[in-house]
Amino acid sequence: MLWNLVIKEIREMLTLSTMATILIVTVIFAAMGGLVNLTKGETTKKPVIAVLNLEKPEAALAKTAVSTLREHCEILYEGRDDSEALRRLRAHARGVALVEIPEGFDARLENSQKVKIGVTWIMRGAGTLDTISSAVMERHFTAMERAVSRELVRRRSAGLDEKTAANVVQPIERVENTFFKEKLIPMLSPARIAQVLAAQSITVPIVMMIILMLGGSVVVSSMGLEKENKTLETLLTLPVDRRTLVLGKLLGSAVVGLIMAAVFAVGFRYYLQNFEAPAESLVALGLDLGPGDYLLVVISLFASLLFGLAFSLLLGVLARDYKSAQMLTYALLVLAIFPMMVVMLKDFDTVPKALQIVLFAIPFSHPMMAMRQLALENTAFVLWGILYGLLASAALTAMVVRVFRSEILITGFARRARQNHD
Amino acid sequence: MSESSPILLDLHDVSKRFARRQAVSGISLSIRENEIFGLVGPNGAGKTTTLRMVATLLKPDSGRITLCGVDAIARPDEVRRFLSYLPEDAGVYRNLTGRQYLRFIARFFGDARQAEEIAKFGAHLSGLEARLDDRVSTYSKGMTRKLVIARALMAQPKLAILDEPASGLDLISALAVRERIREAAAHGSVLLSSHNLFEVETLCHRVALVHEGRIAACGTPAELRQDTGTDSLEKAFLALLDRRRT
Repeated sequence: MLWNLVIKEIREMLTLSTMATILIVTVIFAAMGGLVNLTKGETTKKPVIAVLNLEKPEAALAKTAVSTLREHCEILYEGRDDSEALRRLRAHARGVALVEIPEGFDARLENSQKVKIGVTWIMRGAGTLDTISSAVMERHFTAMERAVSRELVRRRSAGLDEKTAANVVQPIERVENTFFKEKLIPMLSPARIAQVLAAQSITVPIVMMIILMLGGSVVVSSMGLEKENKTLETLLTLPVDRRTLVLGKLLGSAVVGLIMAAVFAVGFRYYLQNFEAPAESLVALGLDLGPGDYLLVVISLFASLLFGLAFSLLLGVLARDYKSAQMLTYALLVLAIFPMMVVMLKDFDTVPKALQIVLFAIPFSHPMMAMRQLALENTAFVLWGILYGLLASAALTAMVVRVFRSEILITGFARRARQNHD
Repeated sequence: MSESSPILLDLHDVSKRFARRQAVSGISLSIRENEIFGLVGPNGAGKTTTLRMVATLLKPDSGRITLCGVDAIARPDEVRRFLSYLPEDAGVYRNLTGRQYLRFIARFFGDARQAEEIAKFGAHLSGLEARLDDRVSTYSKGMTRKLVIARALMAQPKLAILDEPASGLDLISALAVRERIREAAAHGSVLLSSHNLFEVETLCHRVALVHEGRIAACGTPAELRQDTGTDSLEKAFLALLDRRRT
């Protein structure tokens, strides 16, 4: 009986057009991930530049400047012909900048005068990703300046070795340790730790929200379709317990929602992995999760999903048709987005007490927070969250069964009931 | 059906109110085994509300409904085993094929083997064999109606509750549906509501005229004609309504 209902839900909701939509969105995310990956590749490749060297060939400081640039960049042209330099640079697909070392470069530096080197950028687009190469070049210019400064220091202090000269140019270096919750993490800044934990703070909440949204919208739509297609009355007069009807709808929608979410999550994961630190960093930090932890995350997700589906079914009862059902999914969206935003920006422990209560009360928050809490060995928090999620789901499901046993599904609310009856 | 047939459905003083409007006021009627019983009346008279209460979709505010000796108000889950309800605007799951739909419903009335037999019978009743493997979304309104009528009758329920069974059907299909309803009465009873008084007259053993939530008259078509001195149920219906208004 239950399986019959589940299969019907899957057949009704998992249509080719629904899957095609999800697949298209998945491909778009994967393509965006590919684009980001491509740009990341650009940052690791040597930028292509041309050097217009107007200084004498024997000038040592100019030589140091050019050789430092050569270490970090691919020099397409080095000479005195500016139009040839520009022509070659513009013809190259990755040409970034024309660097001009002026005449008298060494002499001015030796006389403690400032030297202006000219940089003519080749700007190929105004997008954020288009300007990455110029940002990379900034680092190489700093390296060039330091190399020239070291050389100058060595010249002025006879007998100074290269290492000491480097220390004079850059006398201070930071060694960062971070005390995070109960753990002292050596050699890392909070920003770097946050980057390592990006999987917990960004990926999990977003994927969780996607699962909830897709699963929830399937349930709400299923109820909306039952009403729009006038199949609900028939369903309610079949010799089947109303609990089984509710369970069939929940399970069927959960299966469809999970299939859709799994397809979507693949694309989204591919997109996000470009921003994350590798998993071994978590091991190095002592923040990695064991199999038992992952099991708790799955149980937490299950409890939360169950609540989301029951909540959606309750929303579906209010829907008049498919269109209004779609509108009602916004209520679910708000409940899922709120904890997602908070968890992405702050830790549970660092938000004000009132917000902690709200966050704990929304069952969707718990799987979003579970991974990080488990990484910090706060297992009790996760267990309480699971217990709360399961109790809330049971209470809500009982409420839905009660509604299914009442006549509200047929009459709606009083205003509509007057129009409905004959 | 004979006068001595046992009573299958019994409604006693059943009332239902929606917000500020009394939809049904103290309706009482009985249907015998193998009887086809018709409810007629103007729009908003309370026919559909009565059918929905018998189908366990609505709970009466007062009164008693008994089907096959079981209290339908106290034990609706049990009563649903005996009945099948066809709403006036019944729809189907548009992404299923006709056969998948019949199998889905049949599965509630028996194990896998029995369900297959029921669905096969449904396929035969529908007369849509050539199109049963097409998605329902490609069916015309008439084809959909034939499918849902087959769905309602295929499990051979003790009581088939049919709201405007032949609405939207062409003449030939309507005749075929009437024949199916007569066949259904061979192993159960039928409670139907219709605005087509010719259909009611030719199908029903007894008819009740519902007006403003009450039964204004009840009897065989012949009794109603005789009572009003008319030669058709249509004229009898109008005469009875006039009598109620004056």
